Amino acid sequence: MKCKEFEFEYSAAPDEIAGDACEHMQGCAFCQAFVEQESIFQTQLMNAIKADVPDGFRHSVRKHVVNNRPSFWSIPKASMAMAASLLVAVGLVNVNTTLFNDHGFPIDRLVMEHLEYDGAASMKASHQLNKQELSEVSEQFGVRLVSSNNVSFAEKCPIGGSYGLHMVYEYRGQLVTVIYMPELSPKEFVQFNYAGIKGWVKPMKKGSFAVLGDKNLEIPGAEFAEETIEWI
Amino acid sequence: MQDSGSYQGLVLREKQKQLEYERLVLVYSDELFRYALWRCRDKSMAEDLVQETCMRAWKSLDKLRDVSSSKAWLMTILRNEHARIYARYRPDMVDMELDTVSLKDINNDTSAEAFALKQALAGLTEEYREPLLLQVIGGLSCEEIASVCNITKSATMTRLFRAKQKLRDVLRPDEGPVGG
Repeated sequence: MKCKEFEFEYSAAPDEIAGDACEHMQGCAFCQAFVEQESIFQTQLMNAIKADVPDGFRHSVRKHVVNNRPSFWSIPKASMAMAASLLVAVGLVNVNTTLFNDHGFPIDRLVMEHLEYDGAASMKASHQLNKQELSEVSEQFGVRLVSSNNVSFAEKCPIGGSYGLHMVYEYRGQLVTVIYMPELSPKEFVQFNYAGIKGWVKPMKKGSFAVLGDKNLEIPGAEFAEETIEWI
Repeated sequence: MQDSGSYQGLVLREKQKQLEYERLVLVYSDELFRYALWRCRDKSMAEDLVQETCMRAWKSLDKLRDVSSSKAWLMTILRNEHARIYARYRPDMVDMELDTVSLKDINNDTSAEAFALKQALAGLTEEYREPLLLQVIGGLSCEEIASVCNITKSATMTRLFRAKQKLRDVLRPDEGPVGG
């Protein structure tokens, strides 16, 4: 491979070079210098293109679809509720929530999997929520937060086969991730510590409650679950 | 019993679809917004465009067979939606000042270099800008960009190379290539 060819391939797709191009770079000082220059340029380009996403944008996108989606969900809710309650009343329906509960993963893995989906941003306070926003989100889960002042981020998130109330909570001056999962009920208290994250999941009278944080942080103990949420 | 079984199946399928959709929104909405912002050059239009894209994605979620290609699939929907909804507004936008319209909402990096880059990027023709945005914002591979833009992989690479060359010239006009 010639330097010009390497420059073309690397410049077009720096994350996709392989084989010949890699071999060439290792033995070519010119192309190594080019790669260094390119890496600076890529960073500049990335910074120039990146833009702030409005606060709560994901939430508004979800809401838009919920409010406008057709078909099944557009059947009047009263009719749906009546049909469902009749079927339950005569014992015909037993919605098997375990079908979706865990995708075959234990609950600590599910929580970790969710954090991986959500990325590093979910471990930080992206924006301060006001009390009304917070109660709107938490009421969807049938809970109220005892101390809403400590929550800077709250969102309804898919976890495994159901949903969780994902929050960023300030605990003793440090940020920890707190997740209430009304449909996931482990049999016992689970503690975990891997991939730089430590935490626990505790069964509650309805669902479960998880706390996660950087392995170097002091995270709250199990009693924190009852101190944080109360049932509506 | 069969009725209750089919009702239950419907409920579960709808829940599964809802979860899949929520995951897509969770993972990709930020990238979709940034891509939309560069396409529309207006924050509220970009928000509308992403909402319409997600609405369309929801309607045709059953057609998404390969989850690993969801990002390219969503970008394609956004691109098509943009063409469908906003193409007719473009002539009005061209008449407006570049730095008040194109760049007003894309203001993370306020350095002179970043501003020059943004201007140069906004000045690129669509055929060069599009693959570049898909690569930098969406993190799509050349093959995925090719499928979104409906061109060949080698054409994608050529456009990416030329687009970057043009932008690099703006930053370092006197510098030639390093290698020989």
